[in-house]
Amino acid sequence: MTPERHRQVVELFEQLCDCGSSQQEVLLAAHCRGDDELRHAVEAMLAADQESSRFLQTPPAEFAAKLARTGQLRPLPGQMFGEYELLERIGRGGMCEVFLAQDTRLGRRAALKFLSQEYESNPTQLCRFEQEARAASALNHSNIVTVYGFGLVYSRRYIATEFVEGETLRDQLSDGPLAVDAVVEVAIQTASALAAAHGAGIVHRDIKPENIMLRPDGLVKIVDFGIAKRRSLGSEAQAVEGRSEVPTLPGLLVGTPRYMSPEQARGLPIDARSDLFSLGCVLYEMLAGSPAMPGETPSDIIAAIITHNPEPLKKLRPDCPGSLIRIVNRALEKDREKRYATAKEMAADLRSVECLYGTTGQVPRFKLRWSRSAAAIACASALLLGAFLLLQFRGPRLPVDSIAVLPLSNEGGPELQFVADGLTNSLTKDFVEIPQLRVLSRSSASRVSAQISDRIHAGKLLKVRTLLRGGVSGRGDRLVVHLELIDTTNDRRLWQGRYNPGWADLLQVQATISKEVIRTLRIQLGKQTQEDWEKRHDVRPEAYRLYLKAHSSLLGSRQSDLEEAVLYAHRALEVDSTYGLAAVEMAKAYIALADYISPRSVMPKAREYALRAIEVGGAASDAHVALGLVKLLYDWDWNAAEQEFKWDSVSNPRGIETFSCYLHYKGALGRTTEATATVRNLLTLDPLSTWANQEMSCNSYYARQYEKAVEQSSRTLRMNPDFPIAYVIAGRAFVQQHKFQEAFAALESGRKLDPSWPFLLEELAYANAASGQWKIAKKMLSQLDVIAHQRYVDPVLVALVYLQLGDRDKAFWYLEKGYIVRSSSMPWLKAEPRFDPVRSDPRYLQLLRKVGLSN
Amino acid sequence: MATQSVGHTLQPTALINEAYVRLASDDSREWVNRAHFFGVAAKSMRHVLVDHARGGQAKKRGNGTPLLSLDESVVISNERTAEIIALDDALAELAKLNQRQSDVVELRYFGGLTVEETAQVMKTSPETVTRDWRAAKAWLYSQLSQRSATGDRSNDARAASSGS
Repeated sequence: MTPERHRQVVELFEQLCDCGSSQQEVLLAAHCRGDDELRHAVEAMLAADQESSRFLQTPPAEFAAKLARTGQLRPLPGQMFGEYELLERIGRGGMCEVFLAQDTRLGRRAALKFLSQEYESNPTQLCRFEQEARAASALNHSNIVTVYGFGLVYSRRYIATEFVEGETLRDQLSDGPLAVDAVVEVAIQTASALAAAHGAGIVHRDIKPENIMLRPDGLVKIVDFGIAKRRSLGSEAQAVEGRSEVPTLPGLLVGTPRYMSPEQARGLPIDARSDLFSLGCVLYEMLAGSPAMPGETPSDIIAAIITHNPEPLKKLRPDCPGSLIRIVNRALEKDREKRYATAKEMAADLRSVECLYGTTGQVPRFKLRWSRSAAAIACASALLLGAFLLLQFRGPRLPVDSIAVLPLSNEGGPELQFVADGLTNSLTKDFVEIPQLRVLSRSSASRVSAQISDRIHAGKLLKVRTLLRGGVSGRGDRLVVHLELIDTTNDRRLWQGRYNPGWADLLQVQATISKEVIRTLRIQLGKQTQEDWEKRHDVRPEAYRLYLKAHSSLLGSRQSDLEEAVLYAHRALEVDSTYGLAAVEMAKAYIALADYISPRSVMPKAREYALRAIEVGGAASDAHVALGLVKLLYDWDWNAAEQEFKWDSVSNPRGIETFSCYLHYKGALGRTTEATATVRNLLTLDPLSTWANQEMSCNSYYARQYEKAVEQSSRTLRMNPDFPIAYVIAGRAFVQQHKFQEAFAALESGRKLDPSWPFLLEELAYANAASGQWKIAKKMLSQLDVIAHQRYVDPVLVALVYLQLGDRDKAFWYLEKGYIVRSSSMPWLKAEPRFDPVRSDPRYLQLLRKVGLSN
Repeated sequence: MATQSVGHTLQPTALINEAYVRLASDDSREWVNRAHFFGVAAKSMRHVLVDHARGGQAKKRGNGTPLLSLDESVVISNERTAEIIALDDALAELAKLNQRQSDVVELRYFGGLTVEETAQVMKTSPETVTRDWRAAKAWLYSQLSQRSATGDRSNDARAASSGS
């Protein structure tokens, strides 16, 4: 627009802006005849004039002045408080307001609780608020809400805690009494939480259904340490006031009357046993469906607490085991000397009930009935809903030495497949780096996950102690990731988790899962492993998402899959140039592409990215394997390749890929006996690995044990029918045995997987030549000649066909070409049986020398 | 990395302080008169906000950000930086088309002046200011609406080029 045009628009606007709409219409038509641009501009301004009453109404300085005057900021979504960005208000109560927030530094969700403005000036409330943060943050227990921090920003105090999804026991009780096993489960977890708190010298003082949160996965979380009191350690029976605590005057009641202990109700000094009485009241109510201490008014209730014996549970709940009733009754003793002395003792008794009544290991699932009103009630407690999870059920007795990560099932649409693949891979990667832990390869694990539901059987088959399995689905812009860790010796669940991350939190969640699993398995991470983990987990979410895409693409072996992997890895590196895993993925994709594209154009890139990955760190062992492969397949520098593989095998003795690559190396040099031993070793560690089986089959082929090669290839194909190279090896082995019909069948099946790939056409040409069908073989050769104008055709395989056709000159011409383009087949020049006819040909010997394979 | 946007929230007192410091630290400046002072102060406020918003754009908002809800949180929330930047750009456009209208917006919105004060500073009549203000607001609003409606692509591009 020109200034002149603008003047025209504004003039017309000013003329029309105070007219009625019908008059505007007429005038517009009159002034803008044929000039649509003018008409649109004026119309837009007229519409804006109607809507923009609040637009630019209050100058920023005025807001600033107001805020500076009061010094206080009303928390609003979108604001930053310290490192927390407020996302949404999830609860508001009398004394506080709770927001769902994102910790922008750690990339995790949190609940931020603010003390209401009017209470900010009340020293008692302030004191309690701070005390809550201090009390709860002193505790580290899976059944107690985790406090992340405490802060003062813009004169507003806040407590940041773990974000817990679920509902309160109060909400649950509104549906009536609970099943016995659910009661026992909640009781055990609450008692364990209290045992931890009491052990740290903290009495909660306000145990009630409102302060017990139930997550949908069955985990119980105790919240609201707002009136908790710290005892000096060692003085079990006497409450000692710390200076900063809320002064408790004799006779002053603190707590909720209905769940108070008699001593608390009378304003006497209290200790840990007071919490046990409260827990007794809660247990009673869960079983009976009505409160243990009836009464309409606080004073009625207090009278009941001191004098009333609740109606016998035996009558109300005939299905309730006597041992459980005895536990509740003992907790409800008026005289604290007759109660349990410690929460630990009570928890132990509850566990024996659990064992007797067959609730072992089964977590009752609470239905998720999340409502905003529930949030508002729970607001008095610091923690609200959540995306976070840890279920430390009783851990395994022995340290666990092996794990299989079963591929996470994709329970969402196809667009989530890469998340399922990627998370499986990221988790496996984390575990592979732990020397104490044997990790089953993806392919072994996939085999099992597809068919076997009996987990003990699966464990035996895989020879692993634990299985990690789960699934991924999506809900709006959030993902749902759930997992469980199973002890295969007894089919017990050791841990389970359910997370609800956004894209941005996915990596954080993956890191959390790894850490939880390691913690549950009681494994201590070494320093190097820990550093590598941190490096890997410190990545921009977008880069991680792209990396997952790259990885998922790389699981396919077609050219288009590999090119897609390159694309995604490249974008991941654009977002984060120091992302080691993405660089490795790039290197691997380029290496694999050397089967489809001239090695000269892809291998130097593979090297570049492998070196870059080594330099930036975070994926060292994979990066060295990739570099080793470049040195083996492209540089033909056997010693350097061995160095890379060895570097890796020292730090990562059980990495599947290391073995596989080492094997290539040994096989190429004709050291088949060593190679066989290596594969055996590999198969012991990972019996169902498709790769290991395939390596075994290749090795047998080069060792000229063709029957074995066929047998092993068939086994590979039973595991994964989409494994092209297994068809190739089977085909070659059949040809060597002169079983041509079988060879054609195998190779044709392989060709169907990727009909445009010249590699299998080359193999077919060879089989035809070998079976005497020279005409077909020659026709295929001319086809390959045409294809070679458009895409890379491995000259070494063409050479083999000419050799079989008796045209040695052509064969050596193509071998020379293979040398020039640096075909990845060259390293097998010596091991390949099909070169037997030319072993003594000087041209062959010269070529061996050039490649570095003569002794 | 993911933490770049932390610390980009502008505290209200910091806003005022920074605007003042920019005014006061310019030794070479001699205030010609009251009008001159207000004009410079308004510009200063605009620059503080816009520089801040551009610096904080590491964390840009995607499509669907309503650009027209400039409010309290403009001052203190990095959520709204896109709006400030969009406004600044649109205002620069406007200046090319009609400098006077752009000045009125700068003085009234960023400088916080009333119609009468603006008229005084600009040595014009309050009626002219009122007319310019209304037209400028309508023009800016329609421009910003179009931006929100067209998926805010230009905004992303700007964010990318402003050192995010």
